[in-house]
Amino acid sequence: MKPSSFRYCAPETVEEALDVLEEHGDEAKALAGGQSLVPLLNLRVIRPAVLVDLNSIESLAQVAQEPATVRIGATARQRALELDSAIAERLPLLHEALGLVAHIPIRTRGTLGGSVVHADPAAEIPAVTVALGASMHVASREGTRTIPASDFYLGPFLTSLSPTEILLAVEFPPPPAGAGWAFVEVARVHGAFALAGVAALLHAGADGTLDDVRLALCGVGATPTACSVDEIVLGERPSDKLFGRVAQHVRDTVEPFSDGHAGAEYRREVAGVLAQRALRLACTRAGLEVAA
Amino acid sequence: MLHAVFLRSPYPHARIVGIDASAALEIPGVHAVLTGADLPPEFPPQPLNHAFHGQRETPYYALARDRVRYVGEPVAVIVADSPYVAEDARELVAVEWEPLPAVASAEAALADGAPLLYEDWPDNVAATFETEMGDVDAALRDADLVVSERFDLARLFACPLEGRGVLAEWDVYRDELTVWTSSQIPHIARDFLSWVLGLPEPRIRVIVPRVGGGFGAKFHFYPEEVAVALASRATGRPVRWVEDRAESFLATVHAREQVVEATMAARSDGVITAVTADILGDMGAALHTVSYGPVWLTAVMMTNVYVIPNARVRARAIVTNKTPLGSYRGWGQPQANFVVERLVDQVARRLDLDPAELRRRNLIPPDRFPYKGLHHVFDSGRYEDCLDKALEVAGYGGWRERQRQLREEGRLVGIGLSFYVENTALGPSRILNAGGVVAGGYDIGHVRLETNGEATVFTGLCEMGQGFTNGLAQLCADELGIDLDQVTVVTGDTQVCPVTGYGTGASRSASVGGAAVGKAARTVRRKVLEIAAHMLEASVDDLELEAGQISVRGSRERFVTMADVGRAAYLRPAELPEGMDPGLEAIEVFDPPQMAWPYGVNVAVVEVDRETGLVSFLDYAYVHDTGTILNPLIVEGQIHGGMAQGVGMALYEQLAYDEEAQPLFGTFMDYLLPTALEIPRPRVDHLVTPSPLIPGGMKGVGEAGAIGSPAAVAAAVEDALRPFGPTVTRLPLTPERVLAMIGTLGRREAATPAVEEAR
Repeated sequence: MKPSSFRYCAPETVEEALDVLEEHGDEAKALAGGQSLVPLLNLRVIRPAVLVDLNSIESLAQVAQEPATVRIGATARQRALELDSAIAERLPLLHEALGLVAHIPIRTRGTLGGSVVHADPAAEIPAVTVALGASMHVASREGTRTIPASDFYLGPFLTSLSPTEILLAVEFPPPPAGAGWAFVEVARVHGAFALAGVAALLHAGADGTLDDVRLALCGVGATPTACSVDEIVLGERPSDKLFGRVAQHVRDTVEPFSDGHAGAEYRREVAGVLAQRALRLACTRAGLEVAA
Repeated sequence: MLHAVFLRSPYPHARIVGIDASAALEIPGVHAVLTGADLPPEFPPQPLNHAFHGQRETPYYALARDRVRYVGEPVAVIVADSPYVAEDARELVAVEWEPLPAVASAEAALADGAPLLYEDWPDNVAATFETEMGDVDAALRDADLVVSERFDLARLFACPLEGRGVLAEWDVYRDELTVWTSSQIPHIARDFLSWVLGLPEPRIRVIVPRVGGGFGAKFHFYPEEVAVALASRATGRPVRWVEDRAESFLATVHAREQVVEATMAARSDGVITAVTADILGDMGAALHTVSYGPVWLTAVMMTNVYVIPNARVRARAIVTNKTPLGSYRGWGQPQANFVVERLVDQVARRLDLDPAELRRRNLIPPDRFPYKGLHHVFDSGRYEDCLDKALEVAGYGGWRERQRQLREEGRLVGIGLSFYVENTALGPSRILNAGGVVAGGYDIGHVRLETNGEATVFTGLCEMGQGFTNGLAQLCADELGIDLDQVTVVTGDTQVCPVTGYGTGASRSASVGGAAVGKAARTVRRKVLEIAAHMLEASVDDLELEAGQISVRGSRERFVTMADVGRAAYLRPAELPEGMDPGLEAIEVFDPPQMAWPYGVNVAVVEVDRETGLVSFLDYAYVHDTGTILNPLIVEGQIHGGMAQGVGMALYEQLAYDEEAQPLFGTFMDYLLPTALEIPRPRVDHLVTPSPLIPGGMKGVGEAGAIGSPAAVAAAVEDALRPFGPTVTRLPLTPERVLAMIGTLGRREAATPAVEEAR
């Protein structure tokens, strides 16, 4: 478990990093927290010729609390974000999901952007970006562009980021005031990848009927999966019966895979269960009563 | 120092047509590439410590010669300036393979027309062991009730968090070899290295530094230990190999995997009258150091703690194209315990008796010890007292009441019991040798009082975190009347330490090793008193030894210190009694007359999430009797650790292969160990019934926690699922299996067969 040899560079500015990427294209790989990349290097699953360590670029680790959004630098550490009270307040869904990412030592090193770019379909953070409708700010020598989370994830470990681009930041719009949230998952042991996970966000109008419900799932498809339930829930009052229909819709929609931990059928079943639980919990947090 | 890495077989079964290492050798910094072709024709296969009567030979070598039989089998060792360069070179070693059909399970290996692992055998059966007592057929015929189940226990492994490591330095000028290795069997390893390498034993020094966990996996003599020594000889340099995490899943022995078809017969009053079992042990590709010992042990433990007069057991050791199977905490006992205890629970269910009550009716009563069971003689025990205490500590009645309430609320709460007995103090040598064990069952303790009045204990046992060095120091300190921190314990160096007959395993360090050290310390104490008596002009009988001072009883101002005695013994022999030799040390042997038998009860209380199938613990009680307890903290720690591994076996761990015998594991993402967040914190209590066989009465506790816990957890889950009626016969209890037992799954498409089977 020793990597094959590579050139290592640690640029101090985004521009320098982009220069290296421009020069080496897909021969180069950007290193953030290294919690996925370094094992892949050590197992020689990947063999980049150049490793571009982003950890010396201070601007990439910054968190900006803007009036309308929270903009989180790509190399901000997961653990630091988890302990950030402003994030807990404005992005409670992200806060809850961060607590489920692997173990504390991994989160201490692992970064938000690393998890997003790695795009493991079972990972929590990508699902949160989809649920919250986050935007990915990316840069290359050509300039910057913004990719909505819904267009960012293309497949397992595959994103729309090109080899000459790096992720600068993820910009999250906080949920509307009074919204309820929940991230729930099933993992066989604490810290293991989720067999299935659900990020839920909901909001009800003054009349108590739901006017915004968003679900995103992890572990049950090739990418984090947004599941639209508007037709079922909008204008309805929260109830177990309603959420049961949502669960059935989730089961009918997701396309899970099988692995050594659980089959597709299990994942499908539990995705429905978790959707129901997440919505219930979100209602409680929004102060909404759930009828039978 | 040079670094070695191994090229391992990517095929479960293949012929090696040829190996071309020339490109690898051209890389700067590469010193050697050794393959099976470099072994001389007469080079011996890896020796075994256990050779049971009638077992077939499964020769395998430090480096595969012409055929590989499992993914991970060492094929070449690459030696370079750094492990990085060695791994680069490994990619350039060109092997021409001729893949052969493989078998991935014991049952597949027995099928008609199954590929043969050893072409000169008629089948894939490496050994068959049968034992019987009483009249089983009559008991089955006359029984009021007969229950039969097929049990399926997954392949797992000890998975010490510190993998293995070997550093060999072959001094080619003196023709002496020093090997630092993370072994539980330094003396056996030395002898085996000698037999394989043709170097006399005294020229080989095996040093075992403190080891980060063994759990039996390091009670094995591995190909890497030989290959690294050969690499040192070939290069004239010290060579180091450190097992990496990924290869440890393939290169370190696996354990546990068995399929058992078993039957239990009982009368309507709950008295068990017979048990039968047909055991298939999946040995992997070859019989490793301990042969099929774990499977044999499963067979002979099939009556557990019960008076069952009739029993018939057959165990077959089957070779398959998987990593060789070997030792892991408990050997074959967790499997036997699982089978017997699960059957007992089925009898209780069928008779509508409380499982605790059914056990009570069948326990060996105290007045029948020593009790001859199916195979062994059990030394002592107060089983019913232990059961009573366990039920009390667990609050069993209270939990049953609470369970009724929670069930009414729709919650799935279950209470599971298991009663285990563990064989410890492995010996005596005569019986081990007669049974085919190469090594003995004794242990040798060496105690030396030093010039400053402190003591040194030398033992061949190995410290790997279990803490027995502390126990041995306590025994020595108590005998010599000195402080614990005045005792230094030296372990694991064949040139310094006395031979340990068997090695560090079988929960024998405190019992056999402790008895030997205690005996040696007593011999030293006698001489200390003789010297002190001479110095104080008093009679030995009038002396008291306490807190490092020897004084005359009744006049404490007349005393000498241990340091005074130490100085006299080594530096001022003129102060010794007339005719006494200088020096103050003793080497004593203890060979147990029989094994000792600690026992205990696990009570697990779990809750099952009916929608996800996840199992969580509400409570766990553990009451046991391991004889004299030297150090309660260490004993409790052993219980916690063993129980944690039993929980892993019950709920999480599995080394799954696909139908072509390709492993479906390789990282901790695939192989799930329980963490502190998963395991319950057991409430531990104990009885103390000193073993009549062991001076000091210690029975040993190293494996106890791992033996009964899988059955207790399984019973608790089955009990929780009672509204749905399933019988738990298969481990691990993944959430998917639990949901399937609840009946939630099965409505949609099935998973692909290979993955399905592997799960």
